[in-house]
Amino acid sequence: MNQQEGPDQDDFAQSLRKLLRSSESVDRRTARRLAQARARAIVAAQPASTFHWLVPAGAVAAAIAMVLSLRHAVPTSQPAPELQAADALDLLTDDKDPQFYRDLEFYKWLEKHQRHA
Amino acid sequence: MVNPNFCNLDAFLAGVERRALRIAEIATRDRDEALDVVQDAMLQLARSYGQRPAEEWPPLFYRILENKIRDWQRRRAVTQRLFFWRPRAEDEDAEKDGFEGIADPGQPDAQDVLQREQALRKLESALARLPRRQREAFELRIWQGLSVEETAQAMGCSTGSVKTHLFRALATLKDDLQGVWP
Repeated sequence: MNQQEGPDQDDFAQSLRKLLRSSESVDRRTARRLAQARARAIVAAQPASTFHWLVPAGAVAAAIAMVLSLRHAVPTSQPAPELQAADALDLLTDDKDPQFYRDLEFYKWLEKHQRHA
Repeated sequence: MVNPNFCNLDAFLAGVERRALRIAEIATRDRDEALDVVQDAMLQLARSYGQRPAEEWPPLFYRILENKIRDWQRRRAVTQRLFFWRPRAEDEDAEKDGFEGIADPGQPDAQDVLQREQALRKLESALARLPRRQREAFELRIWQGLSVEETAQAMGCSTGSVKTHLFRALATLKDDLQGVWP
């Protein structure tokens, strides 16, 4: 069986090719989708940059810096004991020894226990 | 700076995309599915072979395209087995076919256009019925115009096999298109 393409076969093949190639036009939407697919392929062909690892590393560093700065800026959950306004006024106006105010809690406790006794 | 190889790749893909779409469309009978297949083929060529010399791209691209089409057909066969009650794309096409033959009287060469459209539909159906290797040989060698060697490379077979598949494909098409072909 001769399986080479003869002249008739060639003419036939040429006419099929001509018909198929004439059917390759596409509408605008399809053309746009093909162009988008091509663009994605070109992006995919680009080798990954050697500095791409810097992006996540930079994000992590920025997050750590932000956490640290917030820790300093925001008061801690246990605020320092504040003096009542009246206590502060007493502190400024009376002539008691400042050591008395340092031991104020002790004197309050002592007074309370003496009252019970 | 834009890599010149990417410009070449863009030009290559732009040159083959419409033909690739038609090839995929004949196999899938669905333009959207065909677009997805072509996009997958483009992506794989770019990722895996974008850095290779441009002259290697045509057989590689068509080989990838045929593999993607085969993958799609396998997935579809599984889907059809799972969802057997759903209408198939071919059935939906058959429903549309009733209106395709109606010529627009406003067209000056409506008869020619109609004949051409009918011939094209017959050819597409005949191509879709061909055994896969014969269809591939025809599409690559005749439609795309690859050399016998490039076709063999794309199909992963010998040049002798390409000639055999092509000979059988043309003989089958000639039989199938009798009475339709001028």
